[in-house]
Amino acid sequence: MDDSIIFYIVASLSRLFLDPTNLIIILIGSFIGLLFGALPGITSVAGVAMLLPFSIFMPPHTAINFLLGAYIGAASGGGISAILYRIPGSSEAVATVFDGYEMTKKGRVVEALTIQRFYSLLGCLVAGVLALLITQPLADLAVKFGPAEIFMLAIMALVFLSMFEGGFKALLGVFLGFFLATIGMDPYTGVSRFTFGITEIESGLYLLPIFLGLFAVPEAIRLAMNPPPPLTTMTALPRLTTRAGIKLVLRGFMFPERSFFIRTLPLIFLVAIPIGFIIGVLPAIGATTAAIYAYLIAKGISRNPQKYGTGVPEGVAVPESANNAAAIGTLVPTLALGIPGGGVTAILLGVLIIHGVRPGPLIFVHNPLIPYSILVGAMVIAVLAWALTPIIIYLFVKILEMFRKNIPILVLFIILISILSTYIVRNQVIDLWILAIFSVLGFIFERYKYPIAPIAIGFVLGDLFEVPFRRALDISGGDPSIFLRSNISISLLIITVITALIPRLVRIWSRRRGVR
Amino acid sequence: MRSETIIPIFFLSLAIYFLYLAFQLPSTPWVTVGPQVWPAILLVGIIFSCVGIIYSNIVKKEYVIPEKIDRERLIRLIGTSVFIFSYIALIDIIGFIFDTLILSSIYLYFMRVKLWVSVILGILFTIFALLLFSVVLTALLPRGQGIFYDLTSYILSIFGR
Repeated sequence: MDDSIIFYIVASLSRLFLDPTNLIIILIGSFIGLLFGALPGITSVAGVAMLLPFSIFMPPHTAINFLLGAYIGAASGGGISAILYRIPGSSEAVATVFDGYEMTKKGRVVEALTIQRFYSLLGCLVAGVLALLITQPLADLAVKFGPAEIFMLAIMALVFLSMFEGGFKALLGVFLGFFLATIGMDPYTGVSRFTFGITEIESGLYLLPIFLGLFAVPEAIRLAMNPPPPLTTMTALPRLTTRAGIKLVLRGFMFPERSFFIRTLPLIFLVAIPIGFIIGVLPAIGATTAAIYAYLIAKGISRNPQKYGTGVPEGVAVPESANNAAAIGTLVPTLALGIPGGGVTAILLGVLIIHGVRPGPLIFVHNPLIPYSILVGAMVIAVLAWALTPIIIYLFVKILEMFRKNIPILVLFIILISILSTYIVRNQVIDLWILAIFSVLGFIFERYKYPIAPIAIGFVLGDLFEVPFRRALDISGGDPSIFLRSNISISLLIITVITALIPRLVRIWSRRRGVR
Repeated sequence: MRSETIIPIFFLSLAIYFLYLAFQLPSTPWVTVGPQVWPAILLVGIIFSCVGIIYSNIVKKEYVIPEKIDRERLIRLIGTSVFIFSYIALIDIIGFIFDTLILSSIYLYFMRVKLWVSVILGILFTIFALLLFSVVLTALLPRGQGIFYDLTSYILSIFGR
């Protein structure tokens, strides 16, 4: 490992542990994330979006670690309700439901939760090490990218988004996001575009009302309309007041059986984590796809594929390690290329931009400590989330019931926080109307199953791709062949085509193996 | 026509209108690619996506049938939307303290929380917003106009703001 990497890791850890405020904020973020993740009805993106305004008042690395705590907490916590109630708390946990709930039905709830916890942590830690190793080299490579290559990256993100997020609907979202970013003053010529004379939007639409409008407020409206039904309390766990309960909190939910761990080593280290991490690293795909693909492939290569879905522990270990590896993996393109891997990383990218830090290849030149703090912070958060979970699991049923019985208060809280925090950043009422418009859009899009993350991704990437596109054409005197002249551009195109073909190949292969 | 098809038609019309506006932007001969080119490409992309969605809806019969909203849920949807829009509309007129106090209480009562509980919670929400945003984060929030401005300023002065 490069000496400079070790230096930055040590510096990040010192900053994290020597400043108690940092650690407390991360703890709060992880705790809230675990709760959001575990609560059905609040997605991890909505949870992170709701915390976004508070992060504006923190230093950049603390802000990111706070939101990252919420994200990783939500990715880990989503599995809890998937296992206990067959309701994935966050979309990342959708594949955990298949076997996790079946294990609960068979009375193996403690084992299922232990595996979910441990493999979430394992996925995060291994992917964290991989991310530390590849992020800077990737950024160093990206420094060599000219405007044409950067534009090809945008095309790559566009293709992946339309493939994995829902075809034309995702494409509409990403074009819409790109277009929204063009509103305001043209960065190249200073010409005012589509502002209709409104001076407040001359500098462009602000990110916060768009994100809160798309992710947080529609979630509140949906909660107001559809309060979660009463959930049966779990009886499989020993009561906390008993000796067995205390033992379980102190020593349980931590490590799976050694024989299971050894047996699943190849599956986790050769299939689940690599698939999760690679899918996470590819721009604009995300953790949900990673979990489903890893699950399908693990099922496909299993000697007994028919056992998947009936409550096999591997069916929990694989998606949980894959989705957490992907959650960390999405940070790689976000930090090294400035391209978010999904809705949450689009928010994280937005936060860095708000703080005046532009992620991308040059972040390692201008602010090298920030990307390392984020990656090291993510691993620390994973450990914290793992350690916090036994308490969360016991509190879970009570907290869930408390929220369920007080939905109007929760809804009011989300709406007020969204509106007031939107206002305080720029003190402009127009931002509140933008919030309202995007809340309506977010609600309608969600209702008709239009993916929302592409709009957010397109919006944060808008500026990043318009300028290189125009600069490349300026350099070539308007000749579009510049986009395919360099080896890097052609390599990016080949990667895009190959990745576009992989899902079809997996589908054909799964069909031949009789896996559904 | 399916209700889902209205969405792409709406965005298609909007994209055509903005495409027209894009070509009205002033020309900039000193650059190869003018300010209208990138938005125009994106708008063509939006049009292409909308046509694709409409084709899937109508020709390939691929559409989403949204969950039906019964009367009870429709009332909650309208009530929550009215709350959001009126809160935003009034915040600059009556100030954030009175806006939060009055509308939170009304909204909670509308959501079938008991009247006295709604009022107490409205007060608590207002105090929470005041402490969090004005005192802890020292942020500026609308104080309203006329008498509301004076009253809000007086309340804030108690908290040293």
